[in-house]
Amino acid sequence: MTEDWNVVEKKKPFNLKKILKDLIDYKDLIFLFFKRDIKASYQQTILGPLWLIIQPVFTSIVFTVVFGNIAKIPTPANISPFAFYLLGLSFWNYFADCFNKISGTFISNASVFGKVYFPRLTVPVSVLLSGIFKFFIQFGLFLGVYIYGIIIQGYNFQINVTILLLPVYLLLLSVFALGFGLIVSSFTTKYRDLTMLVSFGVQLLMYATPIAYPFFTIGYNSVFYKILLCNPLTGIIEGCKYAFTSNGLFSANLIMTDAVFIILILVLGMYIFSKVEKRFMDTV
Amino acid sequence: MGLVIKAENISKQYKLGAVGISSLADDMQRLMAKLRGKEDPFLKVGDENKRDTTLLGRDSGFVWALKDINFEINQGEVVGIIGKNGAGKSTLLKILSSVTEPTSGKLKYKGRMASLLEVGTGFHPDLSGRDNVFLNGAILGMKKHEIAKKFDEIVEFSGVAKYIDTPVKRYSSGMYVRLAFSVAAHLNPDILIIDEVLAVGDADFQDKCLGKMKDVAGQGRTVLFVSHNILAIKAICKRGLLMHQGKLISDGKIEDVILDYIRADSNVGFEQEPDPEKASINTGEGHIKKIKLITDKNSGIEIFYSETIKIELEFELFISVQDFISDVRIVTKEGAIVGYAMPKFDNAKRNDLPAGRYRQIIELQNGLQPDFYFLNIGIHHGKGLTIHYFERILQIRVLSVGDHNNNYPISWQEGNYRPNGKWEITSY
Repeated sequence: MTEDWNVVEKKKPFNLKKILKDLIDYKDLIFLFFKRDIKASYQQTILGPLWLIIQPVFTSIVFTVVFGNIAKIPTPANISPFAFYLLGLSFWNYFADCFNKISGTFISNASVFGKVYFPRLTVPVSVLLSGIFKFFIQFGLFLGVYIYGIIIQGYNFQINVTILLLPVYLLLLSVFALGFGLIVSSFTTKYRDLTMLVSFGVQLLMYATPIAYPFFTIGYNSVFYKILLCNPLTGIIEGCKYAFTSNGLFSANLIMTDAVFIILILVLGMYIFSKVEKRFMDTV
Repeated sequence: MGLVIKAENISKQYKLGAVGISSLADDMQRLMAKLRGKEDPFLKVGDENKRDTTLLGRDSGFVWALKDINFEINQGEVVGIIGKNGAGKSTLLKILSSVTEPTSGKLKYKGRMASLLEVGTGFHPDLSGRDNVFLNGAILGMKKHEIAKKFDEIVEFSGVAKYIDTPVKRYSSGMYVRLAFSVAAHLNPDILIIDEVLAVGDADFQDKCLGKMKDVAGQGRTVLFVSHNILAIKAICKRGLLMHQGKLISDGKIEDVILDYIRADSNVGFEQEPDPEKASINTGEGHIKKIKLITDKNSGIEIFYSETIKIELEFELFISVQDFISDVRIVTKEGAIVGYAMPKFDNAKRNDLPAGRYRQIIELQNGLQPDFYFLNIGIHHGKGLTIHYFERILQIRVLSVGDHNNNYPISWQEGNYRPNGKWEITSY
């Protein structure tokens, strides 16, 4: 038994080191939560994890019809429109899915959190894990379509060296979903107004991120261009697309700025979360 | 034997009513005070934790669920926390288990703490029993390899081995709680906090749980146990804490604390001074003043298996009554009358009473099976005309253990009435 006192009180300082240590102590729990999410989501379905593929396929088909054929927004010439949308969607789905789930952390786990103490951050972190799992399935689908495009359909092979940055992009998306999600989830414990905003805000955010269209289809002078640049997801998503198509916006400066902003969001998120986790049971 | 838990002036305030614009206004006020470096203005207000009273007009909207709780617990102590519903027990447990923080004051503890405020926390209905054992164990703070090591033991204890790979939503509720309790029972924390979890499963399993908890307590772990089951508390704990309206009002040896609890809790139904107007029948010729259940060990409404039911009845007659009789009906929780007693059945002597105050001691042979019962008590004219009659005026609980003379547990709690019998076997 340790000789140190564990203290439960109101004025407890924010201790990042302890938060991280707790997370490592509870890594088994994180993994079990991850396993639960994966196992439980496709219980009693016939197609099971196939749904992970069906969803982006259908969305991409709709995008192809609506944006490509009806609105006639051009997509880069060296990739099939279908693969182009799949690429954007796989990254976007990862972010949106994680963000949505993390922002509901407190509310959807209230019954468990109210009965047992364990580091609350294990839940959002496990969400990221299952998000990554689903991402790899959807990304694999994209790769399949992409390679099919090059070999069978005769599109140019345009992968460039920035593909090495993919893990960084993924990390930034994770950190952003986590940080932003923690902030939202902390604020929704008492006032539910944000829940309303989040449910349609994420959908709107997709249109403010170059998912369904290439960034450069927007004129330099439009206001929307500037709004898009303010969105920290723009640089990341465009970077992902650039890696496979050598076409689009790749700006190290923009990505660095986004990274700084995202890390600040994470720190702020963890701070607020750690404040709220100790008293949210009284207000949730 | 060092200190392992120390509570220093723990208080907890709750806001009453719904969250909305008004609470936003409170939050703003609080924020302003904080920015100006002042104390939280709402800490000065707040009412005592009395749930049944509404303080019309001067209700502050805040309530102190706990107020200035202080105690220290040494390693290896097994402490029972008792108190009525709403006394603050659960709030205290929530703070002890770090689920919520105190509004002011501090709680300190040493070592690994595990709390069981509910069985099966985090059980996912779609997952198999096996998966849930691991998940639940990890939520309660076990490492995966620890659970794996104890897995067989856990399954065996729960007795659901056959169904361990079936989703728990297909389980009967009994199987569900048994599996959940088994996981919890195999935790190895330094401090274990348990809330009412024994109220699950059938009698056999309850005995098993109680035994397991005794084991845990015997291993030098510190245990805090909250329950309404006085008998279970008494069996396990050596020390008690009594909560009342958010305050700690008694702390000491468990026997003494239980006595305090029963005394403080006089309206649970073993002693009544009934309002005459609340009678079922009231002719105005006389009133029952006081009814009290008398037990050898001052155990409140609880009487041992086979212990004589002894009732003290005080009444006042406003007229003289020829051939006065009183009677007692024993009623089950469900409302069935399982017993009826009056002096004429027992050839008691006839009483002709002039107006005045009287005290009667009634002793009834107890052939009841363990359960809760109510007593209907009335006073009547000998020819049957009722003077004053109360339904469900006393409550008794017949325990499943006998007193020291026949101290054996009665596991067969069938029925309400136990006929005395003779059982002889001869060969033919």
